[in-house]
Amino acid sequence: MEIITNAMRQLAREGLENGLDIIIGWEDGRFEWQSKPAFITEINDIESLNFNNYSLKNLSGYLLKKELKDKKIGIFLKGCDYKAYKQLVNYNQVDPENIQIWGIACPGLKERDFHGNTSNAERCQRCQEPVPEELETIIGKKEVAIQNSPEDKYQDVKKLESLATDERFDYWKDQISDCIRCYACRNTCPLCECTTCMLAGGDSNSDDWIDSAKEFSQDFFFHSIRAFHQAGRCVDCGECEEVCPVDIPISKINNKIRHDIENLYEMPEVADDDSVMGPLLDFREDDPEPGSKGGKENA
Amino acid sequence: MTEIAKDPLLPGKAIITAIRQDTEDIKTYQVRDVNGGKPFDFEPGQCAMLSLPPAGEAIFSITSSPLAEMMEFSIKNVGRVTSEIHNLKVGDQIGIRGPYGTPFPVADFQKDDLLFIGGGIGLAPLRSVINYVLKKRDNYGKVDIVCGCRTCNDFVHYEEITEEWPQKPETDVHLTVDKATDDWTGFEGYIPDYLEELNFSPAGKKAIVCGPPIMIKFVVQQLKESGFDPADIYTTLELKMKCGIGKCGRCNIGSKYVCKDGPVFTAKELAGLIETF
Amino acid sequence: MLKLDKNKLQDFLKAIEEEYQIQLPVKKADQTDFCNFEDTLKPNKGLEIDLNTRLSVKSPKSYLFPRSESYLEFKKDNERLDFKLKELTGKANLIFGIRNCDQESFKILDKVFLQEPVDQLYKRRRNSTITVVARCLEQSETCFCQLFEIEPAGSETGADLYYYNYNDGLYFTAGSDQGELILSDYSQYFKSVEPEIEKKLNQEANQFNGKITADSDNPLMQNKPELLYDNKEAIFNSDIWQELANRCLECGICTYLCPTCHCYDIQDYSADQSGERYRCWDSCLFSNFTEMAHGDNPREETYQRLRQRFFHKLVYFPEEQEESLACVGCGRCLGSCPVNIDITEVLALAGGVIND
Repeated sequence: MEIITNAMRQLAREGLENGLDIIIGWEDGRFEWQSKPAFITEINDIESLNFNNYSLKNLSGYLLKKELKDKKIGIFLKGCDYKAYKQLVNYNQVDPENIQIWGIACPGLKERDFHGNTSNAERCQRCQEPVPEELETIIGKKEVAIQNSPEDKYQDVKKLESLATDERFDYWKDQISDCIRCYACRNTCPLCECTTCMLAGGDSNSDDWIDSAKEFSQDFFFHSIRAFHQAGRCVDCGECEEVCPVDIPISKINNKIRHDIENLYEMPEVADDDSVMGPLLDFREDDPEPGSKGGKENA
Repeated sequence: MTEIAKDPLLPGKAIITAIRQDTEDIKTYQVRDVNGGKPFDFEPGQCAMLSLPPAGEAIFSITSSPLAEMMEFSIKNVGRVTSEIHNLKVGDQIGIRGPYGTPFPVADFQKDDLLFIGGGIGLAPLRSVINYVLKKRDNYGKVDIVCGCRTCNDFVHYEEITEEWPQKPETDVHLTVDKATDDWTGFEGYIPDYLEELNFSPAGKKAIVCGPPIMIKFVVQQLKESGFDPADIYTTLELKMKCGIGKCGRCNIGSKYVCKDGPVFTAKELAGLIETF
Repeated sequence: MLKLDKNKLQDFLKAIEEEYQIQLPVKKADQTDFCNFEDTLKPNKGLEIDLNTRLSVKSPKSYLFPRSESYLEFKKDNERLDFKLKELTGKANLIFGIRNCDQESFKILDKVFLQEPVDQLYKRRRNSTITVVARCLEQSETCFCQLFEIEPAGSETGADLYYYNYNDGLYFTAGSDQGELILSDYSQYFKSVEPEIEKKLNQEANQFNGKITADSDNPLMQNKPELLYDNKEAIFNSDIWQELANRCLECGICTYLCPTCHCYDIQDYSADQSGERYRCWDSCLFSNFTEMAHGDNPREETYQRLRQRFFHKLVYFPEEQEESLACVGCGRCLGSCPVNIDITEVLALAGGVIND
């Protein structure tokens, strides 16, 4: 971690000296198990930058903040963060001209549960791209980066996929009944970028679609429709699940859809450019018919 | 299991007894309770929450004077609830609860000259006070009413303000429009400019201002520059409101709730708030 | 003081379940939260009673002020419109194992909802709810109740019953007439307590109640909670709010988990000509909280809303309510904010502004 931190500070210093307006990285919180997003504009503040075992937060979402429009930004991205960034570029949500990216070879991080127990972060156990290989500047040692087998990619959904439909629904009924509709999952997701969310409820324009009431049908609608809207975009950065205060395994919903897309459609998880769009935005004549169980595996 | 006491969020029933189209997007509604009278007693400047499920509820200034035997609301079509209200017909029933908010202190105004300044739909709450004052005419000094709108087609209660009010003793009405059409003979210009032209003396006078926030800001500034004491300038604050009873937190500004401690505030009270909009 | 053997707890709860709907802290997967006692009896749910974890994920405010509460039925029939208040049905709640911070938060909610005009929806739940406080003789690293003058080991009155969790028993005292009644109506479950044990427990409680204020090492207790109240203008106009706003996600986690937050929205739900009106939790941090129908939003920027939330808790609420600060130091914001914004950090940043 020290290597990464030192490199971060060095790059931040050079960046600010060479004309960047703002650096986005991480800094320590008050407790050992905290790591919070840092926004550095002065060289004097460089020393607060620190990458620790809990620097899970995907910073790419902050590139959408309207205060940062037209600013020259330097940002640190782990492998998972970088995938989200690429999607943002493909969907024309950020202007790469104004953004200097530095990659981080991620050794796998930790998370702390409600009771204060720390463990290896669940999402790191399935991560396939800890190192953003494409980037020019990568800090940290690639050899130390976490290594998982491709089998691990959908490990969190395989068990659920083996259950019968009604068993799956019981599982989700139990999990989603805890939802308090805080919208943290939506707000933290870097790829949830609609300025007017159709699932907001309340007095928003979307009030014809969804209610603010605590009711299973409304909460289930929120989670399933949001997952479908993210189809083809979600890169499993794990933020949604991480922020959920009531521990709903939200990533499983998105990963199920990612697994299905991998089986049913031939498209890369993250395209290299915007010529390939996710299945909700793209129609091809040989797309599987609705209701069919085609593709590589029986989805 | 537990007794149902009357909850302050429970609406009473009222009936639309008349509708008048004032401008392209403003209608004035006459509302009575099922017995034909006012749904409840109130004081000038207070508000009521009108309920139109499933569109919801919204709070409106009562534009009629408390001395009238029915209630009137002048409502502009701007959103979900107001657009539903604009679909109502005479005879339709709505929910109503209130009165909410602090009234204009008409007792304190006695013997004073009064300068009313209303911009657009901002005239609606002022009308409640104006008609009250004009009914109890002897208690009050000179009354000047300045109304400004975008165009001459945007005045609310046009007949009343041009034909009835100027007829009252010691009562002058001054109209201005932002943009005049050929047949307009009155002043053309924004309200602060008109006020400069009219050059009212602050002596013995209370100013009562209502309108869009930006208009209130410039008018209050101008009045202060002309020598009005901020404690003698009354205005209304507008914030989104839901419960109307100071509990849901939405209209909280400083230690005040617009629905409970307002919407009427003096310029002095507003200056004392740490947050300004 | 009376002792309930821990191995008798379930029997006791099953007995009082006739009269009350019991909620208590229950361990489910990796979290502990208040759940219905009857659910812990269901075999395949994997729920176990947890009286050891100090804090539940969500505060028990939802038993007085639910996440959403449908209170009105309406019916349209041509030009007719009728409203009917909904009745509250079912048994009264008994919240077992509430911590004193959450118990004290009810006093703050009372100041809002029981002030004229009285909110009957809240009142009918509040008047019928029984609370049984678990006295804290330890604190976790995220606790700071003492900063807000709350005694973790509890007091004598306020709740209906108080208990110490000690060795193989729960040691009860009553805090109200209702509590006394429960102890006497169900006396067959309780045993008398040796005076030495009673003395020991009370002594520990007194020591613990005084301990943390004297403990200046606690990083969460470094700044006076009256800081904002005493330096309103300087802190209102400082740039600490933008600093926090940079990373704030504008979600509802802190608001919804906070025992003293009480903002709500009112919405209608309809199916054709009839429907219901409900109120539900809302957060002043949401971007459209103050947005008006014609599109104006006085608090359009995140920093304005963040500032509003903390100023309401630490300045406006005490201004309105005899200097009562709207925080009980439970530490939930500290543990759950995804970007580590919490009230002690706000106090620390405010302290920095004053000291500069």
